[in-house]
Amino acid sequence: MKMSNYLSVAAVAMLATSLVPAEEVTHVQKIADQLCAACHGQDGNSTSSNYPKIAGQQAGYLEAQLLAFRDRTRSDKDAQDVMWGWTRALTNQDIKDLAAYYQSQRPAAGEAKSEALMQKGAGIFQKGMTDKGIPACAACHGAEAAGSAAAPRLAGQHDRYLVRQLKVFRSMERPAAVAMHALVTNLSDQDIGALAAYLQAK
Amino acid sequence: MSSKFRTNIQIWKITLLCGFLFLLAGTDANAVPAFARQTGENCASCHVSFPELTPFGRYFKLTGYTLGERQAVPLAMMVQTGIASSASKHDDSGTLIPKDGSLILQQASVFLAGKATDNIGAFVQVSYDAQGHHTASDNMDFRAADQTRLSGKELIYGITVHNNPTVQDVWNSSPAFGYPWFSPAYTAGVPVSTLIDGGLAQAAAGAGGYFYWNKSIYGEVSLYKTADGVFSFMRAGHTHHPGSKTTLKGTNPYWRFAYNHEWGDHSLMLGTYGLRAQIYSDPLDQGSPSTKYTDTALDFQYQYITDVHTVTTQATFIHEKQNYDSALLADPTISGNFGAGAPFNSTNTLNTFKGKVSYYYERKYGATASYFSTTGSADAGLINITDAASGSTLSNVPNTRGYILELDYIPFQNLRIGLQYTGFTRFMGNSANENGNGRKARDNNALFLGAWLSY
Repeated sequence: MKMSNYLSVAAVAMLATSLVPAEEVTHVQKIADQLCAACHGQDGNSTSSNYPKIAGQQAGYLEAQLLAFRDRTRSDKDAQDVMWGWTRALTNQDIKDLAAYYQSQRPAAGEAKSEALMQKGAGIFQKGMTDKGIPACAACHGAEAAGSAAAPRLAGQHDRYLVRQLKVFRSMERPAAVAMHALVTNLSDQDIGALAAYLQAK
Repeated sequence: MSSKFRTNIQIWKITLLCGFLFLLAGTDANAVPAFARQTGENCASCHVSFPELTPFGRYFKLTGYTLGERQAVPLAMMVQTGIASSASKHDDSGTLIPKDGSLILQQASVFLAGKATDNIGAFVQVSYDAQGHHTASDNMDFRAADQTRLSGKELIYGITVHNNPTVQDVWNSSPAFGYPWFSPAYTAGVPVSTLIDGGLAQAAAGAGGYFYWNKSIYGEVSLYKTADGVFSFMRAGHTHHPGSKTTLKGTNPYWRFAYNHEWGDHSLMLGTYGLRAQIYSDPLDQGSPSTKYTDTALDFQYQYITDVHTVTTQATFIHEKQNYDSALLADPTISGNFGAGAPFNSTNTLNTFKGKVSYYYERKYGATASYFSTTGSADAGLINITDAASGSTLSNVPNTRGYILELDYIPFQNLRIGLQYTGFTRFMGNSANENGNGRKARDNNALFLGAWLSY
């Protein structure tokens, strides 16, 4: 094929792409589509438990985490391996906009696990464990686990992600979560599993 | 030199190699290849293990290698070294594999890889082949891509210019980046393959357009021609033996359609790809008779990826029809590889099946089992393996079947150490005497210990 034929192919390809009925996309949607969507899903409801769901998440929490990734103050393995890279070019305004964008997305509920496990988790979440000195999670995260200005939304989150993070809190790799560090010390792996199962299905 | 002395030298070489690799391990902090430097990501974001792509790796490739920050020096390197031992390195005629049991440098590559602009990126590999002692172009893929939304869902679209059909593909079930990820350099491999399975690698230049909608529907059409003229850099280093290159007649189409589904930690792909291509029998003579190849393939991939357990499987079936110009039939001036030359039949078929399943624990310890089979129609013109002693015909078919079992250890993300066993149950249509000199199919079985370092 001659060079001119190649150019014709390129021209046809470009014409075809210009015919794609492009929809109006805002600046923050563009960042979300290009940087976040591949892992967290286009609407923030990630399918893989390797990445947390961020749809409906509290904007204040999202903003604090994005800043902590960008400024490298949050240092758990996933943060270092994945989020430090993606956030390094974000401005403070981008971060604010992304946080608001994902808070406005509709969160999807997760899959239910064994009833007994979920009931045990519900007990810990709503009432705490007095014998272990653990207060009710609902006190900060809300009775529906929807979060508050001070604490993130947990409802519907992937159980495997919750388990990973509750174990991260045993270390000091998330210094902003110093309160959680103190609280999880007495939680056993079984307690963590029960909590995660309960929250995923909420 | 006594064999004991030789063994001691091998042990020293391996010890030195291991020492070198662990020294590099100590400098791990910034030791990541070009894409990782560009994105700030761990290699595991895009790869299950090199070169198998995760869902995110597919996204990164389809968006034109453009995510992240442009690097001033977007370079990376890779070295493959290993030691292989065949079940038998001899046949009745003498020694076939003189380097059997020697630690060798297999291949070293330099990559120029990453984004040029926010919409244009490239993956360019140049490799030193330690068997042929020369440097040549390797896998190349230049892309321009963009994203928009269609029916409210993400749409990625772009164009690609590359030098091997399927090198642009993002599923590792298609041939160019298919399993095995690395193989011993000197021991036996499958002797006959379909054209799309490496037959045009670094010989063809292709240009095409693609789209990927909602991570579910993928479509691509590309056109190939001989990598000459302005595209000759894509086959540079492969044409130093006149007559050894492959010359395509005209423009040759390739298609690829796939349905992809992602749910939970799982992803599944069902697809088809194929190629129609015409190749001159004499690469230096564009008036020579040609062969028309029609390759039609089905493929499948499933991946389950978490931070602890990872299971991935790929399979493909390729059907090839070869249709010869009548001038080519029984032409006595053509010499071939398997005791024969020009075809007797006006058409022949080849069927290849390849499948593998891998398990990784914590992305560090891996095990893979794979099966491969190539069968074809009988043509005494193309393949005529005869017994050296009696002269009787042993095989007129390319049928070769076998399996690969592999254990991998990835101590840190830049290094893979693999122990691989390849077994053949049939080789060029035979199990008892595959080459006429008494070599059994299983004499080609080989154990390979290899190291793959990328930096």
